[in-house]
Amino acid sequence: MLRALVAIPALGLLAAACTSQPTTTTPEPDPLAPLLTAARTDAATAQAAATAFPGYAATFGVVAALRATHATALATEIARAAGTTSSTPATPASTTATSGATSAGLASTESATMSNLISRLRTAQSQAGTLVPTVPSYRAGLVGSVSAGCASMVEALGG
Amino acid sequence: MSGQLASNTISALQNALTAEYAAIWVYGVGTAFVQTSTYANYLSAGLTEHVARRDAIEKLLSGDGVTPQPAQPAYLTPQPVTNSSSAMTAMALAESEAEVAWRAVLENTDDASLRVTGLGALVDSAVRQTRWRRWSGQSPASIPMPGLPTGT
Repeated sequence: MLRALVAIPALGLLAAACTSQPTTTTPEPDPLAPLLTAARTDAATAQAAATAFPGYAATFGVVAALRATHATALATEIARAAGTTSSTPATPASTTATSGATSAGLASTESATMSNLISRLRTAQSQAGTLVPTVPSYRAGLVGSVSAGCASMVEALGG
Repeated sequence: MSGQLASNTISALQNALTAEYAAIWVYGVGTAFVQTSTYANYLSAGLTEHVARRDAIEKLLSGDGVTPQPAQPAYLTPQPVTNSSSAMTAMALAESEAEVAWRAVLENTDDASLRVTGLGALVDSAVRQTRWRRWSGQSPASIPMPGLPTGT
């Protein structure tokens, strides 16, 4: 029964597919948008770091994959709420999640880059956490999982 | 005051209570097999945390006039706990089930205070699950989306 409560928002996709006219007023920015930007940036940084520091590619790869997972989940929900679907791109999810993202925090050494990423993950954990009490209930789990996922990543990195 | 909690919130809290009972039981079994002091201290701290969460849920439910469902005498682990490594794997699994239950609490309440409590539990369990995975050599240790049944 509890799983059904999570599944119910998916029904909105059926109605959303039929949405036609854009509104004439400027839409409110989705409060999840900054979380998405941060997730994409972190994924891009970690991917760049995996290339720049091949000896640490596995670790940076895990960070990139985790934040790309966050980006995909957030982007899907933002698109759903806006009345569009995010299932149209033919490109793989990881490319979709990071396309156009800049890498902030790529430093000249592996340890400095890792330190930057840990700092960004802590910030992301906190920012997502702040939203948990305020978003509609069907979003609270998503945002909570993103926050907890960032905390898990910091722990795994020994931070 | 009784009857303030919505029925779906109550259901979610009862499920979280079950997850906390299970974690307490699994951690209790783990104490016999996790002897190295660093690991044992962390186990002890985790046990304390789960007991505190159990007590908090019981108080919340009782305060609302709801009978907390009782603990079971034992809980099933997918594999037998026979050594330190299997104990850590079992505790990691118990944390992942607590994450699922607490995420459901977040999705079934509009009470900001309960959301904050639920988030604290979700994050804390994610960190503990990660630590047990790291110490038992499960890689990657990190969980991208704690609280989703597959964790991804």
